[in-house]
Amino acid sequence: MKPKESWIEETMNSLDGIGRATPDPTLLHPILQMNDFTQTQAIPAKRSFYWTIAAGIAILVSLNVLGALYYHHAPNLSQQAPAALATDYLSYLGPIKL
Amino acid sequence: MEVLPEFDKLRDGNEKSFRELINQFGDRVFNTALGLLQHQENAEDVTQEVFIEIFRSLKHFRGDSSLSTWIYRITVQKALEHIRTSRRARRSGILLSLFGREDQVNLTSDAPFYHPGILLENKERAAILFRTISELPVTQRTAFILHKVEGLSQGEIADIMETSVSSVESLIVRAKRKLKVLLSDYYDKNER
Repeated sequence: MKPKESWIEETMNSLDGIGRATPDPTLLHPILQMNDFTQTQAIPAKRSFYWTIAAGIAILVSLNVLGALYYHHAPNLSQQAPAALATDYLSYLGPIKL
Repeated sequence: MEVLPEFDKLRDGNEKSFRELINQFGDRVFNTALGLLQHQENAEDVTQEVFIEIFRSLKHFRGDSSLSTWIYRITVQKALEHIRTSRRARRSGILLSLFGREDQVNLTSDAPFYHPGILLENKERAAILFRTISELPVTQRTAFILHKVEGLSQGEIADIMETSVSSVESLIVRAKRKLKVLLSDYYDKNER
């Protein structure tokens, strides 16, 4: 057998005789000590999860504040006649061919 | 023949029965998760999640499958959820690098994975094999790991994956074929 084929075969067989990995004996102790598994967050979520949520909320609040500031300083859109708005919208659709 | 904890007592939340369940299946769940995830901490997280899920769902277990099959099925589902989550996290890696540690989601990092159950003389080759296993499609990876790492029969794997024995056989054959191709590429790049 060529060296390459032999190497591949040996690598494919490298799991032969594998033993079962065992976890830390204390890994599941917290579960046995819990009385009510229906509690939320029985296992504390990772810190990055909370930071991700906080970032999302901060972005939403910022967008809302920016939006409010924009509309506060923008021309008063509510004074624009509805007909003018409709005309503006329809102009994007192009001429209507019958 | 293994003696399983009395199911009625398990369903009633009997602590002693649940402890027996953990003693009997803890290693199997962890070993399966470790083979699929190739990451000690993530496998530990999944192991805890599995037993919480088992405890919550025991009341709803209808006995359509054996308890063992059911537990393996939950383990595989939780492990694959972890893989999907980490892939999504990797795609948004910029955010995570700002607010968290990248090694928490780096399931298949550049560092080789050494399964603690591997014979010493096979350690390095097995690490290479595990790296290539992580490149398999999920179904092939699952079937291969359950067969080679957990030592389950094709019939047991078919029950866990809710498919036919012939499908499992096909998955394992295709997995082996793909692994040989990947190992051939690895050899050409690194071993010459």
